[in-house]
Amino acid sequence: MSHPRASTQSQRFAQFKLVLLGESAVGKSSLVLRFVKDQFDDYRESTIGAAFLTQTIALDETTTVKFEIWDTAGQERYKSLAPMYYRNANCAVVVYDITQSSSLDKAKAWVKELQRQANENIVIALAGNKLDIVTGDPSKRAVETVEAEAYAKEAGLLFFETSAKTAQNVKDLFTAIAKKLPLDQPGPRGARPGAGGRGVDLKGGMAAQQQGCNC
Amino acid sequence: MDDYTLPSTIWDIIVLGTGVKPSLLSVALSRAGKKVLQLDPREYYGATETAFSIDELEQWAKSPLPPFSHIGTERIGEITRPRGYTLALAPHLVYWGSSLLELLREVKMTSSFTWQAVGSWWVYLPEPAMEERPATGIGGLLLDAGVKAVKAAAAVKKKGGWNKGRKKRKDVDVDTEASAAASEASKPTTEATETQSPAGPEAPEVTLSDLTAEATSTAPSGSTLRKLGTFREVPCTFEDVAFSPDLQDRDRGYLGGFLRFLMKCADPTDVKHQEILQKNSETSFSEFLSSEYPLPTWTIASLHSLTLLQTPPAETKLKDAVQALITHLTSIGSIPDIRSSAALTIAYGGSAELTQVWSRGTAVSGGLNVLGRGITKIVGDTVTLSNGEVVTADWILVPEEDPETHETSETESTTEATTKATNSTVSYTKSIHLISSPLNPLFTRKLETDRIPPNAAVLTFPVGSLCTSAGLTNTAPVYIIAHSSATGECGKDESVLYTSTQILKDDGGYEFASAAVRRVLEEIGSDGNGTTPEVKFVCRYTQKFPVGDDEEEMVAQETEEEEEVKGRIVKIKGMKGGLAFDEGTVESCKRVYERIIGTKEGFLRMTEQMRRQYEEIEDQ
Ligand SMILES: Nc1nc2c(ncn2[C@@H]2O[C@H](COP(=O)(O)OP(=O)(O)OP(=O)(O)O)[C@@H](O)[C@H]2O)c(=O)[nH]1
Ligand SMILES: [Mg+2]
Repeated sequence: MSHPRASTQSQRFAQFKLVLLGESAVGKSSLVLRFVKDQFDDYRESTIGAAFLTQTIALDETTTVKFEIWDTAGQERYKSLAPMYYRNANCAVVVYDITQSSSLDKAKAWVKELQRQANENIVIALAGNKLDIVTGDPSKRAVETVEAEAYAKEAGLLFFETSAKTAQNVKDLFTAIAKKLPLDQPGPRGARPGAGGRGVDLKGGMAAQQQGCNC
Repeated sequence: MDDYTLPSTIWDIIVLGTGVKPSLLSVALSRAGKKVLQLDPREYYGATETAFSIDELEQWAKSPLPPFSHIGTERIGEITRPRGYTLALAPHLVYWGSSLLELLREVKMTSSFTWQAVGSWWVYLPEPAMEERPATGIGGLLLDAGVKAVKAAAAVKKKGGWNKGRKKRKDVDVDTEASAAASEASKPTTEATETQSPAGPEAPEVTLSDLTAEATSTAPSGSTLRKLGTFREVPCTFEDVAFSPDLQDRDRGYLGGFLRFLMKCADPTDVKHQEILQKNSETSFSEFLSSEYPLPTWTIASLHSLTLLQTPPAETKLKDAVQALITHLTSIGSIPDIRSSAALTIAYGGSAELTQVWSRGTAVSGGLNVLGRGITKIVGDTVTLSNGEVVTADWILVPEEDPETHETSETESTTEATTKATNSTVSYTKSIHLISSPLNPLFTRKLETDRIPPNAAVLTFPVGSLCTSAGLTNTAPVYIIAHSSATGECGKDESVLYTSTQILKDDGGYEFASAAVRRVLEEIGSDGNGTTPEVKFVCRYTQKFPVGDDEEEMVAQETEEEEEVKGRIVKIKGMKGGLAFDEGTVESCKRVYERIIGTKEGFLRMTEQMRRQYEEIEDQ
């Protein structure tokens, strides 16, 4: 490219595609809602197909990271969709519910699939959600922290126990992912290149055209 | 997926396949409120328009099924992350003026994709080829005054049209007209026809020698036609014609005249030119040019490359060439970000991205996609799936020529009756080359006013410019579509070259492709230190495409006992084999949609709920 490399500039901007996977009702959409809008909803409807959101975070004074977030539907009927979402993904958050041990098995299956099918340098984080429930009533815990942590370590995953309800660890989870993503050496399907690779703006074109036609 | 049972056995529509057309129909019908089940026996989306990682390509190559044949892959260099690539089987160019973009704009779907610009067209023209001229033609039958025409055109080029927004030159006293140019710039490109009338009173007189002198003196600025080794940029605007150092004055006249002729043909109300076209519709492109605009042979090859047609100029029908050239010329200059470009490419796998976005659109609007499942039997409205499940649907949409999804044919006579005589097909040999260099010279800005660089380019090898080890020369052009890593298809220090030609494998098709790629690497890839980049991976294959008119093969299964047989089967024709996105796609899908929904109105339009979500995201 004829442009200065991102690293030589004082401001760095990177854009990453993130996908959330996990069993239905573990709290994927809730985590995203907390991260993007800092809200929580006790009665969330199960996701249909998938939802797309974006959130930008400042890693430090000079580095900004924009996440393009694909929140997938966990219901079995949408299983055929998942490959589309993790295709080209730079990072994935695999979510389970710490009060449901079967949801960790499902999470492990997702990790396996990602490690077999997705881009080799995808950053995967494991999130044990609904931490607030066991904080209130420890007997509700079905997955021990040490157990999940050991698995995450073995599989090379980032690991957090989170609560979308109280916001505990939610920001930390996404920040840790951003820090682990390679900002300077994007590989195939890696970070979207800087100015040199910005796509064509079709909206601008459309606005200009509409002006032209409306007269 | 085999273990999974469907949540329902009653569907409004079953769509078999996840290629471009089935996916578009699926999402459109789903958005129209129909209950859609989209199936594909393959384990991936996109069917014949899919994109693969290197691992997947290698897997795919092992068991070729029609329309693919003669697939071979080869790893040459070291590939550290084979799953990181997105190599496209259909890296279509999308013209700015195409019906696809029009549709996507209308339904606010353009932002679902990352668009990259296709930059210049380059033609491989070794010096000897530059000397060649056809036997002098009759000339001047249509041409009133070629030289005068191009002079006028160059003088008024600032008025918009094909050259609007371009950087002005100092000799063409611009500033006085800058505001006029700005206001004209937003008008439709057909305006350019007007600018061909004798230059207005304030238009300065520019002589051709002035233009030539200017072109030579400013050549390094990059705003005139460039040269990369033996590759020359194709002149496609009046400005290019006026300033090309490769053209003699009389060629400038003819070429300008031809461009003017095309503009007139683009106007359906220009009866005279429609008649000329009609009369010459079966004439070959090169025959017409050499008799009406006797240009050097290389110019014909050069112009022909803009058509992206696989036939050699001597076998290309004038009407097809004119159609394609008009598409190109009416698109160029219109992209605000990059005026030197005419077309776009969709990042992350070309048309494969369309199939993904549309298939998932089906799910988002309530439909269901299931991979790894096909249809084994259709009787009336009852469909047996490959896992034995039986479901019903009012409409069943199946691809016409696609054996992977065509398990229906060996079944009930009711379906067999629907198979009409097969249309003729055409085969092209294709290849995907992964290159160990970013090939930067191909992806630099042409004009100073271009806000972004292109990330794709087209290279053409004219008839007779390539040679095999057995001494065969190519009888048809060989095209290369080059993609930079900004398309997301390869690594940062790499690029991808997609080749295509109608010369079949047995006639040297694969060898010509390799030879063409080698030329590019030697002439454009060398870094000046004498190192030539290498091919790290290659996949070669042959693909059969439908030809002929766009009418879908619509077969209503109406038998005597209409009560019993509710089912309707619609056969969906595959996309054509052109390098640009098949212009008939949108319209043919709309026709099928109309047949089912009753109107083309509202095709692919967002539902109310989606509109709200969309606005929310827009606000962010
Ligand atoms: N107490 C508590 N409840 C939560 C938490 N996160 C989500 N929930 C609740 O769990 C239910 C399911 O949450 P969703 O976010 O919809 O789950 P999902 O993983 O997106 O589910 P699908 O869309 O079906 O895949 C909702 O009722 C949420 O309110 C959490 O951290 N704590
Ligand atoms: Mg959800």
